Amino acid sequence: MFGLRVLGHSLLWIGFLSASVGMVMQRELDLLPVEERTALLQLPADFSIPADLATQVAGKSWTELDSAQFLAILQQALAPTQSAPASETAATVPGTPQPNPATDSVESATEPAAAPKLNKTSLIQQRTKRVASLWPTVNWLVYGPALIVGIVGVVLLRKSAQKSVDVEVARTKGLDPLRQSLTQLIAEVQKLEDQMPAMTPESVVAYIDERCVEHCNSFADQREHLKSAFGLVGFGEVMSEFASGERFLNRVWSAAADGYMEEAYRSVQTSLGFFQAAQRQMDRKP
Amino acid sequence: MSAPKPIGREQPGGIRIKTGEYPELTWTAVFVGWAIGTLLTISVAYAALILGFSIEGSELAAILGWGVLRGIMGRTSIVENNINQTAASAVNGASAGIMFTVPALFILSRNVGMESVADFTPAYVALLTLASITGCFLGLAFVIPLRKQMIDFDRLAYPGGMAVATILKSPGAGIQKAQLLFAGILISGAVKFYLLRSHLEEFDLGSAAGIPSMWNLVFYLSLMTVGVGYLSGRGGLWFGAGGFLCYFLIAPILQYVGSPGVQEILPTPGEMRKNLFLPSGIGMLIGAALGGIIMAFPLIRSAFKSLRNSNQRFAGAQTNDEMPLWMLYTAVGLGSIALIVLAYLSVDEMTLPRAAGMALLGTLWIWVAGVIVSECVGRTNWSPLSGMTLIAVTILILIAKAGMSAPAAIVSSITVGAAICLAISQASDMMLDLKSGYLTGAIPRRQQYAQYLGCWLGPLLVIMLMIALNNQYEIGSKTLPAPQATALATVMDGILNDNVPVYRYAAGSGLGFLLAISGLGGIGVLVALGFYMPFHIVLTYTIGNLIRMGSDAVFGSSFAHRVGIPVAAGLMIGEALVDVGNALFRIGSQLFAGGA
Repeated sequence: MFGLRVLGHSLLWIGFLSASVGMVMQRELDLLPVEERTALLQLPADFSIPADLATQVAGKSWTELDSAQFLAILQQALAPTQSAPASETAATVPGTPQPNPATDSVESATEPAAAPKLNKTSLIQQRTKRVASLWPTVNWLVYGPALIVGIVGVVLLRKSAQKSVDVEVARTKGLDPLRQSLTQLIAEVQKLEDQMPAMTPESVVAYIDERCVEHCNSFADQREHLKSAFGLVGFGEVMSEFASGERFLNRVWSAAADGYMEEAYRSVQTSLGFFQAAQRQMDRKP
Repeated sequence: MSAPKPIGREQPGGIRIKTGEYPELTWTAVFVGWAIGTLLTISVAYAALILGFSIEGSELAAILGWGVLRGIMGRTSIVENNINQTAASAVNGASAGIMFTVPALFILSRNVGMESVADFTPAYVALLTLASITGCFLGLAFVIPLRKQMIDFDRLAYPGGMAVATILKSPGAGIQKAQLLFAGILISGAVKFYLLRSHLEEFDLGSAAGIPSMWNLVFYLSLMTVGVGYLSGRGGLWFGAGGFLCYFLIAPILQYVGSPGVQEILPTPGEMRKNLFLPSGIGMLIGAALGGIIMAFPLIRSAFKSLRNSNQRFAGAQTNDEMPLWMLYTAVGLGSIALIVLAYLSVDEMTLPRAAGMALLGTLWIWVAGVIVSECVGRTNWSPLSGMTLIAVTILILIAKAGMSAPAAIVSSITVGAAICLAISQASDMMLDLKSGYLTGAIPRRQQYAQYLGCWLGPLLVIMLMIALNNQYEIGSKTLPAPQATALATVMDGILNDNVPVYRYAAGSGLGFLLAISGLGGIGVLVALGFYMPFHIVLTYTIGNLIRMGSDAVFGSSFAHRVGIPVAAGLMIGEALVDVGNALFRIGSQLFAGGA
């Protein structure tokens, strides 16, 4: 059983990791012709180029240019760009249209007066529009088989979980601490209800903090055993009652801290009712 | 007939015993919530246009409510203040929802041929406001039935909700807890103040230790993040695991098997995230959420059954504690119809089938994204709101652009998209508030009504504020850069030009689904969020997880409840207070400089 579980975990995570690598091992840029990709990769990180340069030189948009035209314009533009700041380069281009913040860099979007430029990322985006389909950006040959390995891991994990759930063991061993916490909690809340008429608000608050919170947390921390023993629906039925009981116990705390003892008393009765209902749900389960 | 026996006795100098109804959903709480919410919304929305991030309103509303309701008005009810913060944060939910989406229209309107998209006629303003309010109502109607599953069954941590509950309960929690809370606030506030003054945001341990930048060993300097990690505890570790997987395992492997394009960006983790991990993370979130819904179907059914029963089992008003399901079903039905009508009226070119397609897919997305965001906030306190809005706008533009002009596609998509963004924002805020309600013993139904009473006001305020600010300063200018909306405008332009990384979304969703069905409870969403979020935040958050695990192991879990949680809540609140103060200071300085 342990071996099946370890194998399941190993396959799941090997599959997940390999599929993740397949998912991100390429960029859109890698689908471009080699010369074009090389030229784009060699551009400096802060590269920018006038947005309308392609139209001015070749009468086409950046996307419409074929590889040779694109490389020629890029080469032509690179010399002045490298020697002068980007803003100066843009400023020398005559007839610049109004700024286009949606396609320009963020910096230019915040300065409406600046000339429109394409940064490196935008230029790559313009060129990758020429690629017929960008779906091969994900390496499906790595991703697909790896995902299948992961799925096999999940199947093994779920099988091992089914086999390891010995309902009797879960009922006797796993549920024992839960039953104990709930029984102690009910006893404490019952005592609180009995004593409340004679208690001060401060002592009610202290009573809950010191004698009830620990049992609540203990039950909640071990609630996963309920799933093993009763299934998801049974788990939901028990937890629904328990959580309502805990919420009303929190209301007892708040009402007492504010001095509304009648409300605190009403709430402790409601809380007790819900905790007892949770206990009944647990006892009633086959 | 004899008078009923009084319950309890007073201790000299102690808490005074009061009689009568315990104040909870009162008009006083709602009015104070509206007032505080208005103040918060205007500040936060303005800050969002300048700084690009939103500030969660619940904690600040609880503190302000504490001062107003207790300090000024002399009212002493923890659950009444909880209603106040619920209503106030519902108003503030519109800040992010609108400021991250609608200003994109102003920015796109400066493109040639797009001038008409920012034509804010009175009719369109009314329509946009109605769409936004409809979105709020839809988001709440979808998420309310999930309260039982997320809070009662899964017991998600909702660190923000825990911090709010700590504030609300501080008057009765005893002097030691109050001191710890205020110590946390002071330390965190002082550290944040120092960091702001020194312009320090992160610590690059990798550079200091000579570790390659690919490993991205940079820590976000934020005690708030450590506090959030502490409150999330061991359960949050998988969030860290997602980030570690990206930069400690996948990136080194890519060094050997990555393409030339990937090799180029390996040394710059920011580019790695933007190009590879973020879109994959969005896909993983979607897959994980869908897988999670399928796996949790028996639990969801049980939650619905329990919701039906809870209103039938007890006759008393106190235990009739959930909003009736018929009311929620009606809200979903009417909201969907209203969204179809509003989408149809948004532009002249719209046809009824297309409007129905946009509205119905949008409504479906509200449900899925509401689950994703609520679960992320519940497990980590971080909301992938912008990622979910991005997917919504992508879906909407893809439907709209087939057969409509680009300006019409943009206007209709932003109108419905804003409604969706607000819906998602309201859904996560509601769940966070319901968690604080759980911890303070509030009646969920009353909080749900308070959220509905608050949510309609935000869109009115923020839309008016946005138009006034644009007339005065021009959104997208240096004064009001609107970074989130600028980013959305860039993406929208990309979508119109068929530049959407659907392949990464698809591959990511497969992996998210795989983890969700693995049976390793809830790790799908957490690992996905680790892919999605910047790693420096993930690293610092993990420190909080480890401190909690260490303190539980050494001192026992009761130490966390007595000491750790009040301090961690204080760390969250202190930094948030200084952040808001700083935002207001910067706004004031800018206004003063503009006026001068």
